[in-house]
Amino acid sequence: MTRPILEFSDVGFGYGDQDQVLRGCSVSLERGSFVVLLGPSGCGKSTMLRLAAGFLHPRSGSILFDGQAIHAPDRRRMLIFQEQDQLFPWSRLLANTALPLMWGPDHCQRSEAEDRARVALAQAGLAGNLNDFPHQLSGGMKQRAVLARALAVGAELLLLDEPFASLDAFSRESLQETLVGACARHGSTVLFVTHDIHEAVRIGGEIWFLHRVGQSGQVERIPLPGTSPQGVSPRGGSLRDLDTPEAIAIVKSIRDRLTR
Amino acid sequence: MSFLLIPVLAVGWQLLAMSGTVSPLLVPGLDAIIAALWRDLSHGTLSYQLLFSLGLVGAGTLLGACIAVILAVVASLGREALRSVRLLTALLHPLPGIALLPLVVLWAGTGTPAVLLVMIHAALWPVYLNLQTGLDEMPQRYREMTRNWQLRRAGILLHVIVPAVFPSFLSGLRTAWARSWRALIAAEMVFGAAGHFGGIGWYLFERRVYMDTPGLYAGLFMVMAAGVLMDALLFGSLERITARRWGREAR
Repeated sequence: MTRPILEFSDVGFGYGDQDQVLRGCSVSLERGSFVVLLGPSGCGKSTMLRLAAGFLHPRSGSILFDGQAIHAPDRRRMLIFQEQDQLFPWSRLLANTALPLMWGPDHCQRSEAEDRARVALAQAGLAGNLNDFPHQLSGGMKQRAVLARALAVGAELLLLDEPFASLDAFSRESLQETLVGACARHGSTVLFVTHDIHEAVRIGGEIWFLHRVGQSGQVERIPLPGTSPQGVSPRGGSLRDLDTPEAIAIVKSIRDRLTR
Repeated sequence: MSFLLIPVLAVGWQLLAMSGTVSPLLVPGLDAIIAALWRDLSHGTLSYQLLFSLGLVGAGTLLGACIAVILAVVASLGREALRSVRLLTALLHPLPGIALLPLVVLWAGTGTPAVLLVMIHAALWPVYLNLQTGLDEMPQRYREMTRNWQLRRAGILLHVIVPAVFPSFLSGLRTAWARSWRALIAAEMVFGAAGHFGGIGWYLFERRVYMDTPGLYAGLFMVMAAGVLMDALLFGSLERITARRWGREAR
């Protein structure tokens, strides 16, 4: 069995002295899997992502990335948020995408960085927008560009915090397809936080339901149909049909958990 | 309708001057003002004095802006450094340049260095305050993204911090220029002629001494014209270009 890409072992975390958001949280993420993190508001979903990214540090327990303890943020674990402020408004799309390649640990020359950025943007369907400024793009296009940049940088684990929450339904569905397809192509691992049950069931290889602290087994793993036991989706990058009886049953069971 | 304001004021002024109800020493006719303007511009004195003053303002604003950048760098070194710079700003920013003149005379005499000192004081604080606001308002996400990408410091400075604070810096520079311009006129009128012929402030002072009211109005007109040209043409255009490029609404 291969080593998990991310491993939470008995992790405890709280923001104040008293408040504990995570307690005894143990769960592991297999390489190449697409896991959606769902749960009630304030249960610690975004906190888990920030811990995995290295922006926060656990109060107890340990978090390993590829077998190594996480000490600081690293471009192999890329945190992506909602659309706001993720592209620099003064730079064109190509420069926005090439920047981390030129000035990050890759030390790429401008021409090489721009070539890689051009390829990544073309794969995200933005070949015609290389010279656009972010304010000339729609919300969906911006998120495509952010995703393309993360993949161009070589992120192995994408930590997505409700990335499509502010988009309209059409852009959202189109981006879900882009994301699932791109991650299947690149073999990227995804931990995706959302509040939308339908989105979770549509794109997820597996769902992790995060209960509030105090409930036994804080992370409950919910397998989804058409998924291997590790949560690696064999669907080749397509979205799950929500009209099947299995999908409807899963949506209902998650809704029951949320309203319980 | 605002474009009618200037012709209406000019006609009103001329009617008042021609009515004879007010002494021509107080309200000279527009013809006398234009003649004085033409005389002093073609003679070269006023043009030279205006250019001299603009040069001094440029130098003062630039020096003030450089010190403001250094202050902002110092303030970014730590919480205590930021508190100290903020305290210094709170103490010195409200101090009018004119109140410093007696001290400046003692320190630097009455020549160009004294005028420059007053202008640096006028320019430094608005630039620093705007720069600090720009830094404070820089989205936290930018810092997180650059940490996540493991960007080198030079890259963060050149490609994130500098462009992020540039609009605030520009708006500070605009305020600084306006304050320096006013401070310069006041300083020149108090210190007398700095440089060979002095600046526009000295020109105004001389016109007053010689009771050359048309010349005084001609000088005031030039002060306003230079102010409007610099503000609207230079800073206004720069701010519009920046706003367009940064995707903000042009003001």
